[in-house]
Parts: sequence; structure tokens; C-alpha cells
Amino acid sequence: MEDAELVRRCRGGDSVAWEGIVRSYTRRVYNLCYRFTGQRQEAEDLTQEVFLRVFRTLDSYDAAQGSFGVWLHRVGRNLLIDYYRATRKQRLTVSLEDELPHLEERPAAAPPPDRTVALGELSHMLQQALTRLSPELREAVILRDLQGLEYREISDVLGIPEGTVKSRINRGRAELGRLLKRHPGFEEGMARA
Amino acid sequence: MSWTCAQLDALRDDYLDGRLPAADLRAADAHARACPTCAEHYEARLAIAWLRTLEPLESPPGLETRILALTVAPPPQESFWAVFGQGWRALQQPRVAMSVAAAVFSLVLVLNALDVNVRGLQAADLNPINLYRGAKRQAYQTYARGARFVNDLRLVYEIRSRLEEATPEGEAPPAKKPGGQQNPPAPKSKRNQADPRNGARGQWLLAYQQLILPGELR
Repeated sequence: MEDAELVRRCRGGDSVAWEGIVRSYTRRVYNLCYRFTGQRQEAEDLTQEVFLRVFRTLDSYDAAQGSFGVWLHRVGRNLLIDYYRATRKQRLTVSLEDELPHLEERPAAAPPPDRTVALGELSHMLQQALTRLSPELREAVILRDLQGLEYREISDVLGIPEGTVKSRINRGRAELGRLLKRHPGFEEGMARA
Repeated sequence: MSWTCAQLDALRDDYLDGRLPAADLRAADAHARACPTCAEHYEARLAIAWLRTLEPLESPPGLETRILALTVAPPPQESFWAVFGQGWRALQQPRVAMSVAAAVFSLVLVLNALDVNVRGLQAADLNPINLYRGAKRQAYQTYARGARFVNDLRLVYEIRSRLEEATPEGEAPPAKKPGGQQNPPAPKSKRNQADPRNGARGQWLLAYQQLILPGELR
């Protein structure tokens, strides 16, 4: 069933339709939150908060303004920026190493153990580098390169012109390249991709 | 065909997004890797390639269920008697009785200040203009009572000062006995005898003292 139909039924009080939306988008929203914050517990809490807000404000969604997925990303992004502002002081006193404890994700197909360890380290390092980007550049890179949104959709999510979106993504990618290039095996990444 | 910096700049977004044909991508990579000016693009392309190796994480177990429980779970239904019992138990707390007493006391004070008769309360009494008039009347009455009290005090002190004037020098003023007994008239002083006007006033005040003051000024 299409999102527009699910939303229409949700507005009519259909809890099954709402459950369909939650099950379709929880993973995407959780990944968005996790990549932005770098912390699992924070990401989980923020994901809950995103869906609570979506549930309360579903009536304000206008299908003519864009897809439901883009609207959901916009709600999530706004909450993440609120979270970033609220925790700014705290972050100033906590070192980056303390803030980013560990990453444990594994690729879907179980690779040999040595490769698993290498990928775990890679994920950790990538997440650290992402978290070092400024929030404007970080959100743009995450939406484009991890969430796979188009430039036009990112422009709708962030509420800025498409040219500014491209500029931020390019700056974010360049900054990420500078942060990662000292890592041994950086160029091997191309072969993995 | 090898690429130039100008070509790479023109197609930078497509290059970084990997949207060029494979042969062009290889040529662009070869140029960017070797060119110091375009090294930044090459680093960015490698960073993106790394980023895209990241698998999306699975959402934590139970997260969807918690979200659904927070949004669509019906509120727990309680029977009328259960709710009534909870309310009754809460009312039995001593602090509730104290709060109610304090509230009633405050209300009575305010109504009294607004000159509202609680026993014969009518809807018109609660009209703001009537409340205002009542408060104004109360204020005037209070002021009048205060003014009367001050004037009485002035009269009393004036009488006392006149009495002291009428009393001969070196002689104590007439002692006041308890029980409202009358004091004998004090003997006239020489000064009073010399001044018939003072003497008459002294006589009058002494008579006033004998008649009224022993009971009032003690």
C-alpha cells in the first residue's frame, strides 16, 4: 500500500495503517538518528520522539508538498538539530573518544572473522569522522550518501535551495576525505565499494 | 582519454555521485589521483566509497513495539467506583482538610472586605460593580472609624492637659480611686484665683472630671 493511502487511513483512526508506517520507517529513522548522534541510546530515544511527533502532527502533512518519506525526514532532522543545540554545552566538556564509545554493526552476509574486525574498525572510524563534521555538513552528507535522498528531496527536508544543498554536500565530503586520508588502507575503500 | 581539471570541475557532482559511465569514472579517477589540484575531489570520492560500505543498522529489538505502545495503545480503563475510591481516599488526608479550611477562611476574609453578606447571598452580590461598591463602602467606613478614634483621642488628651493646667503647682493631681469613686475637688491655686477666666474654666473642668473622668480615664 502506498504511503499516501496509509496516511489517509491513519488520519481516519486506522491503527493498522499507523503500524504499517512505523514498521516501514523505523529502521530508516533509527539509522538517520544514529549516524547523526553516533550513540545508540540517543538514537533510540530520538527515533521514538520522531514517531511521537509524526503521530501528533500527521494532520499537518500535505501530500502536495512532497512525499511522506521526505516529510518524515524533515521531522527527524528538526528533532536532531534541537538535540544538537540542547547538548552543545555537554559536548564541549566531553572528549570525542568518550562520546563515541563503540560501533558494533556487522555486514548482512557474515564475512570471515578477520574481515569482520576490519569492517568494525572501519565503521567506528567513519562514524567518528562523521561526528566531527559540523551539523550542517553532517546532515547533508548523511541524507545524500547514507539515506540515499536526491538533491531535490534534501532541499525539501532542509528547507534550503538545491545549490546550497550541493555546496554543503561537497564541503562535507571534502572534509570527510581530509579526515580519513591518513587512515591506512584508505584507498582500499574504493575497491570495497 | 585522460581528463583535465576543467572537465572534472564541470562534472564534479556526477563524478562524486558515481553517475558517470564506467570508462569516464576510471579516467577521472586516474586524473584526480595524480593531480595535486584535484586531490581533494579524489579524497572525497574515496570517503563516499567508504561511507557507502556501511550497512544500515537493524533497529533495536522492541523499538517498533514501544513506539506503537506509546502512540496507539488505549489508555487503561478504570471502573467508576475505583476512581471514586481513589478520590475519597485522597480527600481523607489531613492536609486536604487544612487546605480547604484555609481556602474558606481566605474567601470569607475577601468577601467580608467586599461587604458581601454570605448568608443572604444573591447573584447580584457577585456583580463586579456591586463588589466594587461594597469594597469602597467598607474602605470609607474603616477610614471614618479611624478618624473618629483619633478625634476622640485628641479630645481626651486635651481634657487631660486642661486638668493639669487647673491643678495648683506643687500639688499632685487628684488621685483616681478605683470603682468610680468621686474625688474631692482640688483647692484653687493662686494663679487661678488671680485669673477669673482660668478659674471658671478650671471649675468647669473639675466638675467634668468628677462626673465623667473617674470612670473613663482610668
